[in-house]
Formats: sequence, C-alpha cells, structure tokens
Amino acid sequence: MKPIGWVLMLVSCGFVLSLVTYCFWRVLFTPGAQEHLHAPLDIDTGDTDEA
Amino acid sequence: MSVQPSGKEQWSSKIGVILAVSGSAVGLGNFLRFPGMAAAHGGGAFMIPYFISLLLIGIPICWVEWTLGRQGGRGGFHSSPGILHHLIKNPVARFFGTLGLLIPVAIYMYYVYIEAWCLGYAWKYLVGTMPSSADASVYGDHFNHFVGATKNGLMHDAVLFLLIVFTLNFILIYRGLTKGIESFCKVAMPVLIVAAIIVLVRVLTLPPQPVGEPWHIGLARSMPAAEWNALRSRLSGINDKVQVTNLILDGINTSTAPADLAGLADIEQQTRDSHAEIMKTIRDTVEKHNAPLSSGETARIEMPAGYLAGAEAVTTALTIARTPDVANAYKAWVEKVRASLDDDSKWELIRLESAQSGLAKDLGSDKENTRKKATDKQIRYQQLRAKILQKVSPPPAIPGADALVVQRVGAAEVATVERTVRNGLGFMWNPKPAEPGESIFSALGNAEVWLQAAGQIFFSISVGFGIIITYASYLRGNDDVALSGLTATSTNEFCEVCLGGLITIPAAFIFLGATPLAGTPSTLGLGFTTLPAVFEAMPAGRFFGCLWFTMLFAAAITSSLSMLQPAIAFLEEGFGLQRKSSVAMLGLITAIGCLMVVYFSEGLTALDTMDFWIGSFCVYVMATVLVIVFGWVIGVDRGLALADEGAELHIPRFFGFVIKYISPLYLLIIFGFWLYNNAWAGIESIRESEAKSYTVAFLIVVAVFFAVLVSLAAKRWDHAATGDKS
Repeated sequence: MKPIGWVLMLVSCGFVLSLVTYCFWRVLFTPGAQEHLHAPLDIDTGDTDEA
Repeated sequence: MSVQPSGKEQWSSKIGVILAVSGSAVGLGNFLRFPGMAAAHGGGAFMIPYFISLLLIGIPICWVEWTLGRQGGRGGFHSSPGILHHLIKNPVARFFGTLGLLIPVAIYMYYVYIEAWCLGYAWKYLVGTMPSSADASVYGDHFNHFVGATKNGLMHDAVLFLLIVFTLNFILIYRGLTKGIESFCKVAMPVLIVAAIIVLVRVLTLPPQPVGEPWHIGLARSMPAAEWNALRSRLSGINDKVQVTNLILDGINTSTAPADLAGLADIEQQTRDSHAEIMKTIRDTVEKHNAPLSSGETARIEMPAGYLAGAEAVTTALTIARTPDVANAYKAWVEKVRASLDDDSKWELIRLESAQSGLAKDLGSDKENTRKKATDKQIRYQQLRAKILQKVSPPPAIPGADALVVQRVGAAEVATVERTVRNGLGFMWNPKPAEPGESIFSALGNAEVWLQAAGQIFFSISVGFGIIITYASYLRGNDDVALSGLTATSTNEFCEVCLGGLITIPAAFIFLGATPLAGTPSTLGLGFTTLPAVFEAMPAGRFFGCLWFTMLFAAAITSSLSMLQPAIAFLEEGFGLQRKSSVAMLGLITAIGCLMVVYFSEGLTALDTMDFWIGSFCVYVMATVLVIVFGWVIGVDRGLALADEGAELHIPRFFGFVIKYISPLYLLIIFGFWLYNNAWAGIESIRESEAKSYTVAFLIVVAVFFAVLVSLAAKRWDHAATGDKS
C-alpha cells in the first residue's frame, strides 16, 4: 500500500463517515423529523391488498 | 387535544426511519458491483471521478428525482411518462419517461438472477453442500458451473433458485404483500451491515497467506520420481496434440485465409479441448497434493493462473521440470530474480502479464474476429512480451527449453507479491495506470472510467432508474425529500466505500493473489468467488457464510420488489389496469428477459451486456434528462422552492448553480467523450458477439413496446384532461 493509496482510502472513508454521521445526527435530533422522512420501503403506494 | 408521542416513542420512530432508510439503501451493488468496478478502472484513482460524480450529479440528481416525483404525484401521476407528461406540456417529454419504464424492468431481468445466486449460496451453506476447500480457485470453478458461465444453455444449477426467486417476487408483488417484507427488512438490513462489519474485521486481521510453488516445480520436487514421470509423460502426450494443432494453425496464412475456412473451427476446438484436459489433470493433481495442508502452509502448490495456465507455459513447464535437479536449479534462478526486483517492477510485470493473457485469450476465442483486428492484437501482444523480457535478465541455459520462452515463464513467476492485508488494500486503493508504464492517474484520461464511475453512483443510489421518482410521487405534500434523499445516499456510500471497498478485493487478493485479479475481474461474480474463501478461513465460517448470503438475498429482494413498481404504476394510470393485471403482463415480459440472461450465460455475456447498456448507459441518459428538466424546464429557483417544502434540510443554494449548469455539462462532456472514444468499439463488440446482439435486440424491442404504450397512454391522459375541462 503506497502513501497515495492510504490517502485515497482514508479521505474516502473519512468523508463518507462524516456525511452519514451528520445525516443520522439530523434525523435523531431534529424534532418531528420522523413524521416527514420516508424511504421507498415504507411508502404506501395505495394499490396493494394491504392498502 | 391531540396526544403527542412520548419521548421514547419518538426515538423509536426515528430509529425506525433510519432502519427504513438503511434498508432502502443497502443493495448488492455495494458489495458486489462497486469493488470490481473500482479495481478494474484505476483502483484508488477511480475514487476521484467517483466522488466528483457523487457530489456533482449523484446527490443533486437524487434531490431532483425526489422533488420531481413528489410534484408529479400532486398531479395524480406516479410513473415517469406520466410525471413528465404532467410537468412538461411538450408531447415529446413523455417519451423520455419510457426510459423510466425500460430501466427498472430490464435491470430486474438480470437482478433476479443474481438474487437467485445469493439464495443458492445461502442454501448451500445451510445444508452444507458448499464446497469446502483451502484452494480458493475451487470457488471460482464452482461459481462458473453454478451460474452457467462456462457455456450457454438453461441447465444450470442456479436456474432452480431463479425459478423460486422469480415466483416469490411475483407472488409478493401480485398480492401486494410488501408490508411484511418491509418489517423484515427494517431488521434484516442493519443486521447485514453488522455482519459486513464482522467480515471486514475478519478480513483486515487475516494473517499473510504464503505464495505456494508453481505446479511444475512443486510437483516435481514433492512427488515420487516414478509418479512425476508418469504424470509428465501423460501431460506431454496431450500437449503434443496441442503443439501439432498450433503448428497447423501457424501454418495457415491468417491474412488471406477466409474466416470460415473448412475445418479451422474444429482444429481450434481440438486445441481448446486438449488444453482443458491438461488443466484439469494439473488441477486435480494439485488439489490432491494440497488437500491435507492448511491454507497457511508453505508446502502448498499454486494452481496455474494467468499466463502460467496457457499452452506455451505448459510446454515450457514440462521441459523445465523434467527432473528434480533441473527444477531445483530453475527455482533457484527464479528466487534470485524475484529478490532483485522491487515491488513496483513486480506490479508492472503483473499488469503486463495480465494484459498479454487477456490478448491471448481474445485471439484464441474470438470467433468472428476480423483479420485486421487479429493483426493489431498480435502486434500489441509482441510489444508487451518484449517489455516483459526487458525486465527479467536471461536465465541460465535449461536443456531443451527455448531460453526466451523460459524467460517469459520466469517473468510470470517472479512477479509474485506478498499476500498481506496491506498489499490487498493496496491492490484496491493504489491508483493503477491505464496501461503499464503510464502515470498512476492515467486512467482518468479514459472517458469510460468517468462514465463507469457515474454509472456506479447512479446504480448504487438508484438515481435515474425511474424508481425514486415513482415512490416519491406517493409522498404527501409536506413530506421531506432533501434529508431523506441525503440520508439514503450517505448510508449507501458507507456500505459501498467503507465496507464493500475494504472487503471484497483485499480478501480476493489475499486468497487468490494478484494474477487472477489484474485483468478485469467480473464485477458481479467476484463476491461469489472470494467471500467463500474468506468464510472457509473463519471459525464458524459456514454459519457466517449462510448469514451473509441470506442477508444479501434480503437486500436484493427489497430492491427487486421495488423495480417493478414504476411499470405497474404506469399500466395502472395509463390504461386503468388493476395492479394484478399489470403484474401479470410484466411477469411475461420479465420472464422472457430472464430466459435470455440465463441462456446466454457463457461468460455472463447477456448479464454484462444488459448491465452496461441499461445499468450504465440508459441510466446515464435518464439522469441527464431529469436534471435538465429540473434546471431548465421547471427552473432551478422554482425547483429548489419545491424541494424546500416540508424539508427537514434546506438544500444549499449553490446546488442550484450545480444542478443548472455543472451537472448537465458534466454529464454531457463525459457522454461526448465516451461517444467519441468508446461508442464505436462498444457497437463493434455487439456485432461480433451473437449473445450481445440478441440481448441488445431484445432490449430495443422492449423499449419500442413501452414507447408504443406511452403513446397510447398519453392519448388517454389528453382525453381525460380534455374531458375534465369541458
């Protein structure tokens, strides 16, 4: 592993970890965030048997 | 007075949101597609176009797609054609939405096959039928046979699992039973991430794996003389047939002979069959020798790979190892040369050898090659060979062996790098030149690398698929799109870069060495050939293997279930069909596509073809359309205002400039370069391959079919709108 490889790996992983930490922090500490945040997994399309 | 949820309930809901986002974010691409993609396109250098793509197009277009989808939903439309029809009054706009139908449906056709592999492997670990071998190459052979990568046809083991997976998907989609899946995945996905972290720790703590002896040296030194002589005699007998057929082929004037010269194909096939018999004999013998040894023992013998698995190397190897004394002298020379080379020279040799092996393979198997192309490849082959020979000083005379060929075989053997975690990480993260001898960032000069980086971003975060725009259309007006999109994207990137990027390739390197990876590793198959080797080395490896592939299956099924919703929504709103009728129609279309993927399985040709033209090319085009619609048709100021409605995170205003100017320009420049440099070669490769031709033709038929449906649906929408006004 060369120094440039270390730099690329650490910067890449560091950036991603920072971004995901920020997002999770916003979700957890913003009041009422859970009311308005959705992901495809929990979006109701309204046309299923369970709708 | 309304009852406010308690603090504990709020926290529970917030955790639930994060779990749902994680579940939506994690997919096969993180662990199976990204590592091979990065390793094949410049290694660490790939991360530069990758992150530029993430910041300039991935995240912005994710926001664009969520916003456009929610806006289209306000107009009562839930499919890409419908949403574009609603947002843009130009009649042509809805036809761009055809891509939003073609892409998820076509991706589904090969995605479910990969999903079936996951289920199949999970089952094999569960019942204990997964091969158990310290020889990592066993898993490559097993995978190739399981998925039919060795030859076209329908009789592959994986087909049974495909039938199960396909049926399961459609039962769930037909009955709309997605809520159960959703609840399951809210737990399963985080478990997958934890399982990935455990595997990561295991990989990063693996001890160095020693490099075994080449087969011809190891067997000559370890086998009883009579046994080795008998094996040599047998191999030489078969190899003589290979030499005879090669002489015949060399005698044919390839510049004037017609491509369909009678008997030529038969001679070539005989050569391949004879060589395959030699390789099988060698592998069986090596496997038998290695069986009682653990993976860390130095007495292990390496399976032939790369150049050393070729006919030329076999001929020389049989001469070198005629007696143990000659083999010992040769070994001493190889070790002396190896000690004199630094790691950079070894890496260059590995890449040269890999490039040469790739060329030799193309020349041997390309049935429809033009004569000019064969000549060009021959020239390149000789140039690379000369470069290799410059690096290795002449060997002492080996009686009966061509000195230049010995030098060539020796070059492949001296280029062995220690199989440590650091070198494995280096293989993944060190920038690799595009061609041996060029700058380490030379890969960045290839438009295909930028296109693939953008395509991987799109594939990974599902942007430009037509899926997010559909699901976003079901959001309420005050639901957030900005923080949702960013959280899903960042979670995905964590799984991809921090987990996938640190597991698959380093593990493959430690167990397989550099040679099999130095070419273009199959982006999707790699996880199925390397991770089993990791699990084999782990305590309770069978349990972890079952857990891992079960979780991958769960990740895959959440993605595959969502892939059909765009087309279902279109058929519902375009023709008034009920969900079940829509699902039935899609079942027929996707079943035909799946059959094509399964049948043209040799080299996973149909799968790779669809993956490129749909999963990279079409997704790229769709993303470009969406960003232009947002930035130039709707207008970036209005678009950002729409995105801000209900937002828990306000998108920084400078992204308005990025979306309007930078993103489209970036996409169009890369696309233009790709068209100029690579498009013709891509089209030529389709023409030269029957499997690719049929696959692309099928995709075009499906695209035209959807376009016709869009045209018919648009008439209904216009009629309905006219009826509303009157």
